[in-house]
Amino acid sequence: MKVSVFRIDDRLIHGQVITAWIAHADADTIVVADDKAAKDEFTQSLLKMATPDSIKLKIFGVSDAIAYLQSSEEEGKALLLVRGPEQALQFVQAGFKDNTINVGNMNMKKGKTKVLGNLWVFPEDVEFVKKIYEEGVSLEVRAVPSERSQDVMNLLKKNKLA
Amino acid sequence: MIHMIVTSHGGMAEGMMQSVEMLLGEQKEVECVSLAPDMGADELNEVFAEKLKNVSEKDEYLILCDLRGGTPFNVVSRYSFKNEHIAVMYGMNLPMLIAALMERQGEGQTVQELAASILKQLKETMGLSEL
Repeated sequence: MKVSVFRIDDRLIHGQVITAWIAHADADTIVVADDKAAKDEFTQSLLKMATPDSIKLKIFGVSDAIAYLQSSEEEGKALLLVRGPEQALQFVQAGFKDNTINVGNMNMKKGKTKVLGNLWVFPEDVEFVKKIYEEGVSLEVRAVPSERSQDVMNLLKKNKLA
Repeated sequence: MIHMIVTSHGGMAEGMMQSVEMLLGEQKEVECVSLAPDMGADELNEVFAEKLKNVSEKDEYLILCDLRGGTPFNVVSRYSFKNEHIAVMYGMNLPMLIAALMERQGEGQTVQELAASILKQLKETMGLSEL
């Protein structure tokens, strides 16, 4: 299975993903790689409910998702969703380097600095992002496919965060 | 008493209330909650935490959402999960909202009964005109 869109989104599956990104990714499967979702009955029910009936949904913890995608011999394309740059880095370090990582939503939380309306970062997020770039992979902010793509490192530098 | 909340991405919720009031007159006891473009799920959750703090057998809630799997839906689902006193409906349209307002009665009706009754009517509300 090929990952056609690799996205960071702290909302996981939601309106932007189901209305625009699944079609853009030409995906028949959504892989949610999230340790919390893998353990939480409510989150799993919600993710199932949020997924259109025509799309397969796989929910794993991060390391299980890496193992699944590395060994899966299924045809088709997957939309890969992780909650933040820390999880994205785990994929990159495991060899997932073919995609520019899409950043959809890293929303406001106490202690974060605003970069854009849908991009707020903790200091440790910046470190994870830097490490992703060191691996030769870049990140772009784009909430929906038709939006202008903005490079995350450029945005961080412009805001004197990197 | 069954309380109602209409929630959407952007101004659809307010717009639907404006439309429905053209048809049914002023409506009290319906609240609108909108997810603004720069708002996070956590902020929306804070709004609902406040609105849904007194849910009980006597104060039930019917929540109409625009889109199954959208953020407003995802946020309110946390409250309806394993709580029979909150019913969440998705894919709202004007007929759904009208049905909810018309069928909502006083004492003796549970929110689950109200939701089931609305659901029965939905098929007829969308289609291709044969005229």
